Amino acid sequence: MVEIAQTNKPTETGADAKNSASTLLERSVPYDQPWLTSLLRPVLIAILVACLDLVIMACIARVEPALAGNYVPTILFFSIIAVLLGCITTTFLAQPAHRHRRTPLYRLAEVGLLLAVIRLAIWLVTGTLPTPMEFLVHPLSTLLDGLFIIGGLIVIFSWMMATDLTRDLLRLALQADELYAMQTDRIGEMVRSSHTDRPSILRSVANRWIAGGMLMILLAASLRLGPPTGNGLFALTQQNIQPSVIGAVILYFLTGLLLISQGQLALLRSRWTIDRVPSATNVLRNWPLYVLALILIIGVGAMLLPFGGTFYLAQIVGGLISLVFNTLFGIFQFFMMLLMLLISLITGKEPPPAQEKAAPPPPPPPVVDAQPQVSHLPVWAGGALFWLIMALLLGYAAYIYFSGRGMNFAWLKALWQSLRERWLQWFGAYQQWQMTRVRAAAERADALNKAGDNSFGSWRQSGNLDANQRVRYLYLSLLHAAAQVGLPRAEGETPLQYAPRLAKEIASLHNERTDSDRLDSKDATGTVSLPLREEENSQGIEKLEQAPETTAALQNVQALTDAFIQVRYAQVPVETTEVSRLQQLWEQIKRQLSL
Amino acid sequence: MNNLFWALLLLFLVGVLLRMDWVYYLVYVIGGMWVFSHWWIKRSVGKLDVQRQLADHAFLGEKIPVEVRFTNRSWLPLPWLQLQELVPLDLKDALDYSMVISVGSRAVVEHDYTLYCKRRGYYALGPLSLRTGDLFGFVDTVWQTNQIVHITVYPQVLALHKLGLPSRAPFGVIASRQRLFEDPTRLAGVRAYTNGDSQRAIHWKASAHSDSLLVKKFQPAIALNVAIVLDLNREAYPHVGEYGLSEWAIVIAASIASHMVQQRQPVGLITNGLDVVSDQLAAALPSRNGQGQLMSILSLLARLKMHVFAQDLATWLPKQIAHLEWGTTLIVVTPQLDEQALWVLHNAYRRGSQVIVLLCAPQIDLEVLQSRGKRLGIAIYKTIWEKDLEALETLGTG
Repeated sequence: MVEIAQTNKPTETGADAKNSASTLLERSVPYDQPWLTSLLRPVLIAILVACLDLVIMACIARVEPALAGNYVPTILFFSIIAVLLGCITTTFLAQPAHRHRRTPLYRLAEVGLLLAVIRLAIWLVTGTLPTPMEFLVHPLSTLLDGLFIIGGLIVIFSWMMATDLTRDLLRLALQADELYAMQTDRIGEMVRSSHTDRPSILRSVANRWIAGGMLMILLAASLRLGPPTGNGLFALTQQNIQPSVIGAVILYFLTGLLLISQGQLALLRSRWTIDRVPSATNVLRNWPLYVLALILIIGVGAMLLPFGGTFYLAQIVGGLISLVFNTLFGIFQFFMMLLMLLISLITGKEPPPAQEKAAPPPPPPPVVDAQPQVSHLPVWAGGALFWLIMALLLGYAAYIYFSGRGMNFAWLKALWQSLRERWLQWFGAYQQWQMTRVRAAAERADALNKAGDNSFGSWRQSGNLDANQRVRYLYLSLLHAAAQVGLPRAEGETPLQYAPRLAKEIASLHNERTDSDRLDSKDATGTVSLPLREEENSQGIEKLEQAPETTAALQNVQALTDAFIQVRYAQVPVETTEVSRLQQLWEQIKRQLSL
Repeated sequence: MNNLFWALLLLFLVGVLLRMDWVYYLVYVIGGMWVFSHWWIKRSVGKLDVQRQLADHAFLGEKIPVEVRFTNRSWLPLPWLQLQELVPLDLKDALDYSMVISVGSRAVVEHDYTLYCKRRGYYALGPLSLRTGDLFGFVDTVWQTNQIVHITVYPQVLALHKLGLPSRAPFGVIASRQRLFEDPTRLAGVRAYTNGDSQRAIHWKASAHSDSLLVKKFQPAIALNVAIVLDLNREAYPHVGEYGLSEWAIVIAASIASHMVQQRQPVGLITNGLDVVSDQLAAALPSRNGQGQLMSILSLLARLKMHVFAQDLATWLPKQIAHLEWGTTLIVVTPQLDEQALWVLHNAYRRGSQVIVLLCAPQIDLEVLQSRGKRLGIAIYKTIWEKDLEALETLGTG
């Protein structure tokens, strides 16, 4: 009944172990190839979505007649291409051999390429191809104009609809686990397969078909210029709607019926296969014939039925709807009136006086235009970068998409390799030159340092500093000096964290030097100093922390740190007198550091 | 597809309110499809005749070809028709008896399958479940045919020599000196007509030739009726293997009956088994000869079922054999024989019957029983399995 085909994808060239394993796995898994490779389904979906696009484009042409010339047929053409592409790619990716390409990136590449082609086509067809300067100066406005956005949206909509429909119809196929379960099932050894709710999928397809049809009819209704001018069979051509639109709507519905019939066949076929019910060959063979014959008979029969003379019917239906609406509204009004009456009886208060109108808000302050920042880059640099990125993205998308379709990019790889080697050569030479230059500069700097010159000195001597810069200079001098005596600020340590630690170390350093001086003086008198025990040492530290040297150092460092923070982070300007005080504090710290 | 109804309604309203007459075409087409599909399936189902053609009886091991014929009397085809035959497990020749076919307009489609008779019995084939629908999934109809066919699978019939029974006496027609019974088929001569002779006995040709009334003389003979008594009381069978032993007893009874009919001897059947058709105790078949009788016996044997019966053989049997003709050979097929039943059979022997007991189940102290039965005029044989039959065959021929 159902031809259960094993996948027969040939192995890749130079198949490695991974590829061989995957190929073996694919060959061992059965797939519903007859349904996956059917051509009728993509064709029907393409007709369906193309009809929808035709009506949408007719609406656009109705709104903007100037576009009817080349733009509308172009977008229609590309919509059909997008639909076919969506159907074929979705079917292609459903093949077991291409499972690994079922990624969002692949589909994104497909859409990107499609949009790029549409962009080019719109430029060419509408004659709005920008000049190279416009490309570079206004890249976004040249890329994303209104025509492209509308056309792109329509094409993407068509692509998405075709993809969704194809995916749903592919889900009606016999799944691999179902076929595997059917093949390997024996009595007492049931292999359970996941349940696929095919009637629900088919209902979903039918609902989308109906919704699309309703949208088309409403769009077609918006195209009417006046009332119909005739009755009977030929009233179809007298609706003041383009015959192509009416034809598209009718074709849409008839094609949808065919598609649903195909879905029903897939559903039945799956059920029979899963239930292991063999079917006669003529069931599948005669199915499309019966459907076509039925549609033809009903379609021709419907043509013979009356179309016109519905004006009085419209009046009757409209009157009935109005009557129902008025009745409901009257009931609502009645109950609302009763409710309001009840409320007024309960409260019995007069309505509050109307509040005085609030004073109008003051006019907003005038906005001062920001001064345009003067860029040193040329005006076309941004645009060039934009197009470069776009070209790279499109190139990558094309690589992903076409390599998935079996296209060989060996020449491109060779070209890329050549360019890369050339670039590495150039860049290597540049790096070598740069290293030579840096090394020479470093040697010059070392020579200057050896000569006793330092960077802060040169910075201070480079020019007159203002108050803020002087504060920064003093703090950086503090850091420099602390680093020189072995008390650098740790990486990640904030100034406020660093200040108390530095003060304590400075006081400790100062005390050690004072004690050393004392010991030196006592050694001269013949006394011997003994090392302190641990408890005594800790007590000594506590005493040290409370010593006046520590307090003074802490105050000095803290004051300098606070001033730096105000200048550096709070952007608060500092007074010149304050700078002088800070200068004195810095001198004290320098003394404590014995610099 | 309930949404289709609302879609049609919406289409209709759009057509009416927006005065878009061409939308009516869509309403006609889609609504027409919907209505037509319902009408189509309903009509096609009503115009579809289903007939099964098969033999309603078969012997064990035979295959019965079945032909199901679908006749579509309508001009509208049935795009798909799924049929599911309900086949008893003992007749299944395939895993499933389902099929999907397409029946064209005014066409006859035949679907063939076979049944394999693996076990004797009386089986009901059917009902045939049918399912069909339209091309769009609007309609899905399931129904069943009321035609249920009963199939009788006769029990296995073995050649008599395999039973190891003596193949001469007491079977067959025995010439008798008593002229009470004359066989009209055995003409012995003519004699002069005497007063009181039946007119049917006058030999008209000979009378015309001799110009005097002559009467046919028939050879006197005794037709020895055979009555087979089959004990199917579940209580009499050992619990282990009761089903197999009872089936074997039925095979023995069928084989004896077949042999008797082949020998042109009348044979009857008396059993305490349950007839599955009436769900009552099977009625006794009086001794008759001919193939019709054999078919009756085999059909009854096919329908018999072992059951729990309140009366044992010694209690039940005397009433059943009370009206047997003199000289009837009584062949009792039973799984066990007790003292009481032995005396009952002895009484039958004394009334002129020849009694043979075939034990189809293991019996304690069989030799003692056999010697006692011999003294009482009852031949007792052990016929449990085929190897016993072979031994009996040797005994019979020796």
